[in-house]
This record gives sequence, C-alpha cells and structure tokens, in this order.
Amino acid sequence: MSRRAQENILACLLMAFFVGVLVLSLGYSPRARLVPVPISVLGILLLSAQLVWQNLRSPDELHVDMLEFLTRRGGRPKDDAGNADDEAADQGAAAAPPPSQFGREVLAFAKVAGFVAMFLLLGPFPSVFIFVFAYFSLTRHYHWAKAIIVTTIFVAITYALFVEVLDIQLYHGLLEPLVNSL
Amino acid sequence: MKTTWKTALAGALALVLSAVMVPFGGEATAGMYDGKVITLIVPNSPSGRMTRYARLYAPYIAKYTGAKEVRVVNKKGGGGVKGTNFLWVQEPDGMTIAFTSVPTLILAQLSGSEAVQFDATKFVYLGRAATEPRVMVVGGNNEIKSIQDVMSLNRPFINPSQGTDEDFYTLAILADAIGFDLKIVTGYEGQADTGVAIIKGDGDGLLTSWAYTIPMVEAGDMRPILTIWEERHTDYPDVPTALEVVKAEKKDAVEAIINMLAMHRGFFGPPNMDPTATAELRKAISMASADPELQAKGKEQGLILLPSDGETEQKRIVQITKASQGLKPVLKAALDSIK
Amino acid sequence: MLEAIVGGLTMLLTPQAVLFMFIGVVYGLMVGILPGLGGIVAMALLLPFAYGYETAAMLALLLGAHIATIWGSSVTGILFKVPGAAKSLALIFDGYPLTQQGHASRALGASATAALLGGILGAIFLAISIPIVRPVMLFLGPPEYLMMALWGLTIIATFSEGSLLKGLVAACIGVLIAFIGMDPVTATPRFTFGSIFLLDGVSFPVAMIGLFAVAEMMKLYVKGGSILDRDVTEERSTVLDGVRDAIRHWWLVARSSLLGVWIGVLPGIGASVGGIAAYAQAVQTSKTPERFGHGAIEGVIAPDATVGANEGGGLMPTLAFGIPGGESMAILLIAFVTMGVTPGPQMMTNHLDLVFAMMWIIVLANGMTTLIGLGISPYLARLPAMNANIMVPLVLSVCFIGAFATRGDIEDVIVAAIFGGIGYIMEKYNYSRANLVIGMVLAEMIERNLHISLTLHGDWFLFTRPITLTMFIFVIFTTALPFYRNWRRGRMVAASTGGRP
Repeated sequence: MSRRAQENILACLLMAFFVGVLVLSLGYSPRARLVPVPISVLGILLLSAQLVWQNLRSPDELHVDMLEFLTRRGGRPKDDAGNADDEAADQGAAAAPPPSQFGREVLAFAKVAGFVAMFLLLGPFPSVFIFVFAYFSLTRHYHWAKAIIVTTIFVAITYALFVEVLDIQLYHGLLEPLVNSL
Repeated sequence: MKTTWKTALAGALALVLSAVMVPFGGEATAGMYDGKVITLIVPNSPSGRMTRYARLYAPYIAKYTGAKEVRVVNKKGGGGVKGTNFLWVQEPDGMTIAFTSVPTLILAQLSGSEAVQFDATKFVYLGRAATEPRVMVVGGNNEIKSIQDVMSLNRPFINPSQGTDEDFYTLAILADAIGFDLKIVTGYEGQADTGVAIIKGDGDGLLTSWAYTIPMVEAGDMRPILTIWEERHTDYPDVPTALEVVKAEKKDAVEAIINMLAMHRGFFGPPNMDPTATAELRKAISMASADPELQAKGKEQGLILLPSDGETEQKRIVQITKASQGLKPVLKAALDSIK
Repeated sequence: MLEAIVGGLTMLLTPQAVLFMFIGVVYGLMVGILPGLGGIVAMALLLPFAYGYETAAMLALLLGAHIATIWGSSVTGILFKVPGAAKSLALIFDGYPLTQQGHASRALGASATAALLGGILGAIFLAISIPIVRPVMLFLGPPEYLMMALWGLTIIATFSEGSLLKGLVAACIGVLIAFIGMDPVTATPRFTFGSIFLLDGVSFPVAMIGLFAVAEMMKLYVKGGSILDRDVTEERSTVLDGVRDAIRHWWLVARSSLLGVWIGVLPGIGASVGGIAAYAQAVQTSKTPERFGHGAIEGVIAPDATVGANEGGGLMPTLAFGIPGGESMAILLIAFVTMGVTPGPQMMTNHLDLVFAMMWIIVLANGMTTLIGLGISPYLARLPAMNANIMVPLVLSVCFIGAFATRGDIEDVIVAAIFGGIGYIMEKYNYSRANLVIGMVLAEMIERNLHISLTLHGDWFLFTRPITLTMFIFVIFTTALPFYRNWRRGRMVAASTGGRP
C-alpha cells in the first residue's frame, strides 16, 4: 500500500471520529456542547484541508503541509532548508517501509493485545511473569534458566514496590474464581 | 422497573442464603465472624479521607466481631456510585459491607443519575463514624449579612460550585424551602477556587463544613449566615438554623436533607442483610466508636468523630424516604438550571 | 522576620527531622520513578507513619516525599519517555531526544539542578511576594485563567513542525478525549456509552503511559536495537555538563521559577499546566525556537524549574486565606491540625517560624533530591542502552502495572494499551502526540473557565474586562511572533542571497 493510501485511510478514520463526536455532541444540552461542537467542526475542516492537500501534492512532498507551505513560502528558500532535508530523508525511510516491517508491526500490536488479555485473565503478576519469561525465551536473549532467574527477580522487585511499599490493591484476574473452584 | 427487578433478585438471593444458613443458625450467635474476613468496600480514593476513616475503624470492627480481619477494599468511581453498585449485588451474608458518604448516594439516586443501580433506602445501615455539620457562608465584604438579607435580595443569590455534589443539591433544596432565588455557577475546581470566588465577590456564598470556615471567618473573609443542622452551633449562637427560617410547608424537605447530611460517613450493608450479622456489626461498630484507643488515634490523625448507632441511622432513612418524593422535582429543576 | 527564618531552620535541624526528610526523599524518588503515581499518593501512603513524631519531622517526611517525586517523575520522562506524573509531561519533549542522542546524563543533571534552583528561587520569590499574593489572587479570575490556558495552546505550533494541519488535528483529538466522562459543568455524561468506568473520564497519566511509553516500546520492538540513536555508542556528556547548563541558563531558570510560583498560587490552574506553560515560555523567548523538540537542553531546564518552584506557591492560598490550595496541601494541613495550629492567615503572625520551616523543607528536600539524583544519574543513564529484548518486556510490564495502580481500575490497563496503539500510529504518520496531550491538559481548564466567564460576565466578557482583553492581545501577539520571525528571517536570507552576484 502506498504511503498516500495509508495516509488517506488514517485521515478518513479520523474524519469518522470527528463526525461521530459531532453527532453525539448535538444530542447534548446547549452548554454541554458549547465546546465539543466547534472543536469537532474544526477537526473536520482541518482534515478536509489535509485530505485535499495530501492528494494534490506529489508523493515526495507529502510531509510538507499546506499551512506550513503558506507561512514559509516566501521566507524559506531551498538552500535554507537544511532541517527539512533531514526530515524528508526520515520521511522517505518511513514512506517506503521494508516489507518485513509490516509483519513486525502486526506482531507488536498482537503482543500488547495478548499481554493485556492475559492481564485481565490472570491478574498483574502472573501475567507479567509469563510475558517477561516468554519474551526472554522466544527472543533467545537469555538461556531459559537465566531467563527464569531474571524474570523472578524482576517480578519480585515489582511486587515488593507496588504491593508492599505502595500498598496497591491487587486485581485477581477473571480466572481466579475458576482456579479457586478447582 | 430496574430497581424492582434488582430488589427481587436480592430478595431471592437472601432467601436462598438464609435457607442455606439455617443449619448453622445455632453457631451464628456465638461469634459468627470468628476467624472470618470481612470485606469493607470504600467507593472512594485510597488516599482520601474516607479511606482513612475506614482504616481507622477496620481493626476495631475486627476486634469486636472476632473476625480475623476487616479488609478495606477501594472501589472508586462515578462519585462513589461504582463501588455502591457493587455492594448492591453482593450476598447479604454480612461478609461484605461498605463505608462512604451516605448523602452522596441518596442524592445521586434522587437526582436520577443514570449510573445508579441501587436503591439507597434499601441498604441496611450499621452506624455512623462521623458527620460534619454544614454551614452557609457569604463573602466578608458582601452586602448580604444574614439569611434575612438573602431572602429579601432582589436578584439571584450566586453560588460558585464545583459541580453536582451534596452541597449543590442541599443548597437547591434550601433555596426552595426558605424561598430565595438561586443561581448556581458550576465549573469551579476545588475548594480554593470557590472560596476565593466568594471572597472576591464573583459569587455570594456557598455551603461548607464548620471546620473549614473557621480561619476565614476569624480573618473576616467569610461570614456564616445559616447552620444546616438540628441545633445552633455553640461557637456561633447568633447564626440561625435552617429549620428556624424554613417555610412551614417545606419543613419536611429541610428535615430530610438534615437527616441525609447527618448520615454522612456511614457503614451499611446490602439489602436484606442477615439479621444476626446486622446485629453483630451494629454492636461492633458502636463498641469500636466507644473504644478510647480508637478515639485517641482519630484525634491524632485529625479525623473528627461523631458516631451514631445503626438503629438511629436506619430511622433517618425512614424519614428521608417519606420526604424524598417531594425533593425530586427540586433536584431536577436544579440540574436543569445548569444544563 | 529574620528570627523566624532562623527559627524555621533550627526546627528542622534535629536528628529526627533530618532522618525523616531523608526517608521521605528516598521514598518520593521511588514513587516518582514508577509511572502513574505522583506526590499525593506518596504523601497519603506515608501519612499513617508520620503520626506521633515531632511536627517538623512529620512535615519533613511528607513534604520531602512530595518534593522528591517531582524529580523522580522527570527521570523516567527523560530516559524512557514515560512521564511519571502529569506535571512532568513537558520533560519528554526534549529530555527524551537528548537521551536518544547519548546525552542522558547531561539531561538528568540539568533537570535535577533546575529543579533545585527552581525550588530555592521559588521559596525566595514566595517570601518576597507574600504581601502581594492576596491582591493578585483577588484580581485575577476565571476569564484570566481562560486566557492563560489559551496561551498554553500556542505551543501547539512548536510541535507541529512539518505539518501544522496534522498538529492541529491532534490537538483537537486531545481536547475531545478530555471531554469523555461526566461534564462537571453541566452534569452531562459525555461520550461514555453508558459505561460507569468512562464516567470518570480517561485518566491523564494512563493516557500518557500509553501514548508515549507503550507506543515507544512497540516502536522499539519493530525497530530492534536500543532506544539510542544508531550511531550513539557511549555517553557523550556527563552529569556535570548538565549542572553547568542549568547554571548557564540562570535567567531562564529565574523566569520559569517565577512562573511556577504563580501557577502554584492561583487556584484553578493545575500543576500539569505549569510544565507546559514553562515550556511555551522557553520556546517563545528562545532565539532558536526550532531546536525545541529535538533535544534542546532549555526544554528540560524550564519545566523542571517551574515544577520545582510550584510547590511553594501551593502553600499560598492557605497562608493568604486559610484555604487548602490542593490535594497535597490538604494532607499537609492534617499535620497542622494535629498540633493545634489552625492553618490560615494568622499563621503569618503567630507561627511565622512554621511557615519558614516549610520553605526550608522545600529548599533542603530539593537539595537532598538533587544530591542523590546527581549521584545516581550516571547509573540511570546507562539504562536506555539496554537491548530491546530486555527493555520491551520490562518497561511494558511496569507501564501496565503502573496504569493499573493509578486508580486501581483494571480497565485502565486496556486504556493504556489502546493509547499505545494510537500513539504508535500517530507517530508513524506524523500526527503530533505532544499536541494531543496538550489539548487534553488544557481542554478542561478552557471549558470550565469559559463557562464561568460567560455566566458571570456575559457573552462579551472579553471586551468588558480590560485585563482579559490585554491578555488576549498578548496571546495573539505571542502566537504571531514565531511566524513573524520566520518571515523576517526568510526575507533577510532572501535579501542576502538575492544581493549576491
């Protein structure tokens, strides 16, 4: 998918967000919608401008923005744009990500989602133990024996800090009643 | 509709439970809490004052019930509503009770808050740890010098407010019962914000606790004009009580709100709580309140105690329920005025 | 007066008070470093242990812990882009880029020194300004607070480099996210979809943990290596460089401290606004504003000095009117009540030594924090060099536990994860996360004060109140200034190149 297509999808999603907020806000009392309505309208206008802008420019100019363009046009000759060149280079790198990166991105989202799911089911400390140990083992950063030791120490320290010192009341996870009934 | 369904469910639960408990009935009287863990839900912030009161009481409730532990569990959220919703559906076996600001709950319910799933008049009240009488104050330089001035004011009385808290509703009921025009300005954040607003004259007055006003009254920045309590405050004998100035036909409303405020920091259990447990807990809480060790600790921690027993508190609920239908339109009008 | 100053100090020079302050500071540093927990939590947890000791020791323990959390929160902001508390948010804007460039030690040193100088200057400013605190507090009101919040919004332009449109969109999203929950002004549940959890809104620290820390860990996982720039192999500067930086920018420190004191003094302006306002002020007065956001040391110094000075300001509503200024002050007041002192204006006449004792605690606790901080900074600065395979699981774990710990709600962990995803996507497509957070912080302040102003002073309050109007013109002026500077510099460059043969 081209960078432009990705940008367009994101802009449309954000547009949907602002429209949704606007629709919900219109159902509130006049004072409750006093600020949300203008802000969501502003968001819609800004995004419309952004959509038009990013589809009219050539791909390599995607990172330049209309307002920036207007305010700096007269004042920023090409040879002054040392910074902008760097940025363009960064953007260029991001614009054409290596194919493998998408897979890793999906994995990153999946790992966070998996961790949170485990957190809900097992409670904080068991899931932290499993997550950290699994991470160490799967990346083969540590030998499994060492991974267990490091993980145990880490969990012990966080437990001591949060539960003993800071007196945080633990969440026990959705599975606890099940475990208890066994 | 929803409430009746819940009540029915809770009733059914109680029935099933009492049936299960019958075989153990004999033992229950001889220390049904021996070695047990009582969960004390505090639907407020763990670092707040309410939790400090709960933690002060917890070991003494354990001591006088014979329980192994009284465990304080914070379930904060929705202005106390979240934790109270949780208590509403707990088994009424006496193992789970709660401690929080009772007027907040009653008012949240009466004002028709969508989040409320409980009926505060159906809880079993076990005793009160403390209550702080409220007082109405005006700015020191304000043209208003007394409650009579408020009543003869030819413009609305402006109240800077932090939002729909107990003071918001109390003031709305007072304005209706005493008969003055009230304009509540919401949006202020914190006591300092509202306090400065009346001192500088952006607003006329507000409700607050006696303890909080003392330094400002002494410095002449604030002036007390009305006590929201059954009798006058001993330090300010010239300040009338709300009951003295209320219109005769609205007396019930003011009595209801005074009763509500009087229940302030109270212990309560789920509806239809096991009678043995109720009796044990009421006794234990009264004994804890009378324990000189607890009193000394409370004093040391700056936690003012004004205990009252469970039976008294339960009676207040009867009076509040009686008058509550009359309060609803006033509360609704107050809410509509800020929409 | 002098007697009271000395008296205040001698109160603190007992072994018990010094020991308690040390315990408080160490505890505060720890709480501060953990994400999501701030000074109020530290004080509330220590409170039960404080009863029954000398008053000075009790105050030293509580206030010392509170002071130390400030720098503690800055540390993780600088090193891992995890702001420990809302008020140290501004530290990540430049602190984290400095870490990436291998200047973690320098940033930590500058931050600790700036907090110390801020604390000291704050105490001095406070002592000087005691006579004018009352009139100023009575002079300014909601319309003026509104203008201050609008002024805070002007730094959005700073973080929108490359895409002002997207930057503004991000700020709008932030404002709208802040409106989730029960609207305190109209008692309307907004965007809650019937959820009781959402009734309390999105917790600001949790959103920050997600947007910055979780997103950064996801990025690190995708990228591999460590969070340092690829060409950074070792630390490029020392803690001492940072100390020197802070001292060299003494004028910036002084201005930021003054700002911090007054933000603390005025009720209705939260400390989280303080850091952002300090940052805005640093950017707007800088001759080279374009360096900000890319590792400008001033971007670390200014917010830390402001936050350091802020605490002293928080004492003022109490001393001027007897009104507790904030939650932390309310806890401190307990200490007074137990010793039979009624907090309030009469303290200025009857217990002036106690007032100065508190000022001394602020100064000494800041000094202690800085000493410990400078000592441990070289070790802390090594942490970001950790391999991604260690860093990602450990930081993610602490972040999620921290998110849970902020309010004890398991839903907050989900919120942190969702914001992690949002943060990752925003970063990738150049929608400024900083702007989203700024929008979130300022939204409520703007909405509240706008409503109060409209109700009290009518629809045209902006033009009927001279001071508000003046401030509004100032806001417009400072917003336009960077654009004007850009334009003028552009013309000068154009003129010089145009003049070349």
